[in-house]
Amino acid sequence: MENISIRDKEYPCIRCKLRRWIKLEVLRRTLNTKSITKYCDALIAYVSFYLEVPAIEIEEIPWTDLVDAYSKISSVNTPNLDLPLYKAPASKNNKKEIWDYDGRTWFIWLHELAHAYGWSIEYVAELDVDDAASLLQEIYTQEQLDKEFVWSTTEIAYPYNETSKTSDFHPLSRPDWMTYDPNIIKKVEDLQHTKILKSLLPMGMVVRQERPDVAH
Amino acid sequence: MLPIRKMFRVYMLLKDHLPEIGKEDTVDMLDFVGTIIDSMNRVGKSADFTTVVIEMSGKELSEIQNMPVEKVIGLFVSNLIENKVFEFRMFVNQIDLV
Repeated sequence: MENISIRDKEYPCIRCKLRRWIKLEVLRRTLNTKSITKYCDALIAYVSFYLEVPAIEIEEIPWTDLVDAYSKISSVNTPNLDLPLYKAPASKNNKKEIWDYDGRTWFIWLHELAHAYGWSIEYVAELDVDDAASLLQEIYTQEQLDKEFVWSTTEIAYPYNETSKTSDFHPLSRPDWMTYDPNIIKKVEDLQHTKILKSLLPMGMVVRQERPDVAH
Repeated sequence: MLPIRKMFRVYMLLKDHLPEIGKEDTVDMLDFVGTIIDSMNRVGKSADFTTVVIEMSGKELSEIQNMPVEKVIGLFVSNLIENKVFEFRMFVNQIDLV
């Protein structure tokens, strides 16, 4: 275990449990800024929160100690698992919902885990982030598969195709993290559509590429 | 050593004038400081040199004005080294902030 030294005082650098980890992660995200003042505020707040030392004291420590502390804290708190849930690209629509509030992220995790497993607040708060995130992914996977099953039993899943005179199964679309493949740069919908003369179209049977975002 | 906010203030004044130095390079200190001062003069920011010395050393302007030039240059260089300005440049490049 590495220690963090600030002004000749040693602090143990250990991995945070879920509740603290989420708060720390929220603070870490505020480092994504192009403003020097906001970056310094965020870095100081991050280290101050982890070490439980007032920001006014962290403010005055040598810059190398601060950066070193941040680097150690960030490294020890990095999730060890490479979950698909982490890999999906962030939503372009970062608009806050009207029912959002500060600190909601923790309550979303708590709600999902407590609801699924009947655990207490204290128990969920003390989980390791790898366990909690894996379970969260299982919860979301199960929910999606349940929805897909219900969807497949409804009429709207089989829209009537006028051309083929048949009802084709139209699968329920999956969330980004379940379909995201880093090797596929573009989704089919994002490809540029070009009109081609009918006379230039290929003859015979056309075998279409499988859509990456649709289950087959 | 300076805390991060002061270090950013100093770095913002210096960043466009710091020469590139490889790890293995030996540097003539007079040439090195001369390069920085020349660069500041070229863009009409010669006063920044004094500001940087004041910020890094914590000395008053009157104190600096009464010091011999060699001492001011020595103070500037020793503070660049003490505050690890080149390491700070690497850090800033890594975080892609400025």
